[in-house]
Amino acid sequence: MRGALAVFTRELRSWFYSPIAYSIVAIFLLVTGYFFYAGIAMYSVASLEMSRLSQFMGPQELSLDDQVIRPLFGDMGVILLMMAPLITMRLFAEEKKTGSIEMLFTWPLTDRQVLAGKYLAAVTVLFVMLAPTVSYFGFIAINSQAPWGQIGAGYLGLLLMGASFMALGVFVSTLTENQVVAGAITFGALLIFWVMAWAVGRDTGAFATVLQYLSILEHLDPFTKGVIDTKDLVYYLSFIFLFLFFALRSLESNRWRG
Amino acid sequence: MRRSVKYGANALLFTVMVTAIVVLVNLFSIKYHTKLDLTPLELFSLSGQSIKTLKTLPEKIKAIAFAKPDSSETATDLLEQYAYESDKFSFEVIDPDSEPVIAKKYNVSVYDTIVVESESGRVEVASRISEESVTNAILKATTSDVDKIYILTGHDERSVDGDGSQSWSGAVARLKSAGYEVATLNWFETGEIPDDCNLLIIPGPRNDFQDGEIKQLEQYLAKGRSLFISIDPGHYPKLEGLMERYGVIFDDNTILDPVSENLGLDAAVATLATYGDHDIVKAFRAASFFPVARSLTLRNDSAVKTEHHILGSTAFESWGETDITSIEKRNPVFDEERDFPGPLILMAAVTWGIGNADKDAPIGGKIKKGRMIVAGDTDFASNATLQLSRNADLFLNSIGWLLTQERRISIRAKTKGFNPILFEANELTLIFWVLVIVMPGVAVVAGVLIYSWRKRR
Repeated sequence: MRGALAVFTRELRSWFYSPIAYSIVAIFLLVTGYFFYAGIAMYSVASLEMSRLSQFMGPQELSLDDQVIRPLFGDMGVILLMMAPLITMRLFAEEKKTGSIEMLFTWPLTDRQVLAGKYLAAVTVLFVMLAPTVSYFGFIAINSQAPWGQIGAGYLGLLLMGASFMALGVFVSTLTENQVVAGAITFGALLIFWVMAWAVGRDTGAFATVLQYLSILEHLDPFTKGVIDTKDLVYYLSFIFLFLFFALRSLESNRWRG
Repeated sequence: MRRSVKYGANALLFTVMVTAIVVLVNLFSIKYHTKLDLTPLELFSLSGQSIKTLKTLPEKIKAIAFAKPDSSETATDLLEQYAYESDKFSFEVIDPDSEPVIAKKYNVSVYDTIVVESESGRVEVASRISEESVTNAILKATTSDVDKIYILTGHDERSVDGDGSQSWSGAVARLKSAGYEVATLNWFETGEIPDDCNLLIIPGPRNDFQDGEIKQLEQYLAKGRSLFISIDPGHYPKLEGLMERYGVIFDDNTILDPVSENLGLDAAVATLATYGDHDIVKAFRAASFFPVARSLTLRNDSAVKTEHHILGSTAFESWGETDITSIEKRNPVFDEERDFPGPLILMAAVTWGIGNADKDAPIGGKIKKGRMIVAGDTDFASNATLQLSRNADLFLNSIGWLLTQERRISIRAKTKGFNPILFEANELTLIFWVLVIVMPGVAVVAGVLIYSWRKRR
């Protein structure tokens, strides 16, 4: 535990003592902030038009959940997908390249502690990216009732999905000593997991069902609409567990491959 | 070399085993899962009635939604909830334009139609993407015994065909789509009320009944069979006399309602503003509208011992005008002595024990009771008005209650509603500055400061 904490602190220091984390957080906030602003601005216009329309056409339907909140979580998911490789690609690849990994291995640490420390640091960066965006919904709460339950579920989904991205990224980073290769493979693999269900169409065969289940996007959707399903929780936790497990096997292999 | 092969094989075996366990855990979680709906209105949870229907499905059901691309998400959201509640329910959402063959097979020519097919091959159509529509289609596809409703004709009652504004054709279509068999009954032709009649509807007769007919109706009610009757303003002494035996007086007035005028309607439209405490109306939060209605008075001292439940009344401001000519002259004024003061009862549910059931029934046992719904207006379910506010739900729930078919009570549609949020231009500018400039800017400045501080050290 203490070993993992040491790695975690060392890792966070390297993140936040350098401009990397700040630039990633700034870009993330810039893009999501703009998406939210655009969504709210369009919603405001639609509200005005629909209010006028409802005088002639009877009751209209216009919901913040559908027009602003769900799309925003979806957008944040896409941005995370693009930024996750940037966060994870250096975790092991860089240390391998510079040779500092050898130094790390000479510390009295198990592979598990090294992995846990680095992974938790990556998840912390994810958390730092997402946390400021909660304030967006404050702007909704000022003018209207914000559906906090749904928003909470959406963030839980985003965190789980982001943590899954990180797990896959960490694993890929253990495979190579080239950061760009690690980043490219991670991005490609995440993208495949993302679009997996697109190929299914209306095929209902076993293979299609499996593809659909594996698709990482399918499991985010319920969270963004405010529904927490144990099945989706299990999916994300399994995803995280499995890729961290692979990463651990990969690290261990360094010892016996010689 | 041999050592690394051994380690490699071990690691591979271990990895395969762990992966297999994770796959099993996931398979288990797909089969046994539960969910928590955090939306304010539980938008993604079905009503108790739908869940009951799904839990008692006698056979497998498959639903195919023919949805436009922009409504396919709504259809998926809805049908996923059905699939969640029952393993016997499966569904797919398809675009009829890209799959015309399937659309043709089920004869679907309208967007947003959901076809429900049971394993035994019964096909029913839900014409809207709504819980009510889908649940009723499932019920129809899986139930074999159908309730038969007869609608009386022969006294110039409301017509049930044609699309005139006064016609009840829309109401009849709703009954049919809810799974009931509906037929008209001309007493002069049959001479009696058929045995397979589960519910008789008398929609606003404009001629009074004959003595023989009253007697038959009385016998029908005495057997505990169900009746829905609406009588518009006018004089029908024999029919009104029969109703009086059940404690229901149809007052001789026409309701005038300033509340309706405030809503932009005619004063002769009575607004049902307060619902009673009854299963039929307990979920209703919006008004219903009764054009040209009379009020009801309920009495406990009737010849037949009855129980009355008010379903709805008008607001305090309304009154029952007795001077018809003043309405025609458009200058009606409330006359304290002659007119009926509001609130006025518009609709009521009546039950009565059968035979000596009251005396003979075992303590705590169930007595079979006759059921009747009386309304002081027929127009509330006519084509012109049925679509307004809660009118259709009021009608369908009443029919459901009369047939004691709780399985078929209409389901209140959960809509996301209309939640406009208006931001002023300067508010939007502020949001833009805070979110797009200030917040990322803070991160950039923090980064620069830390970096230069580290460099200096």
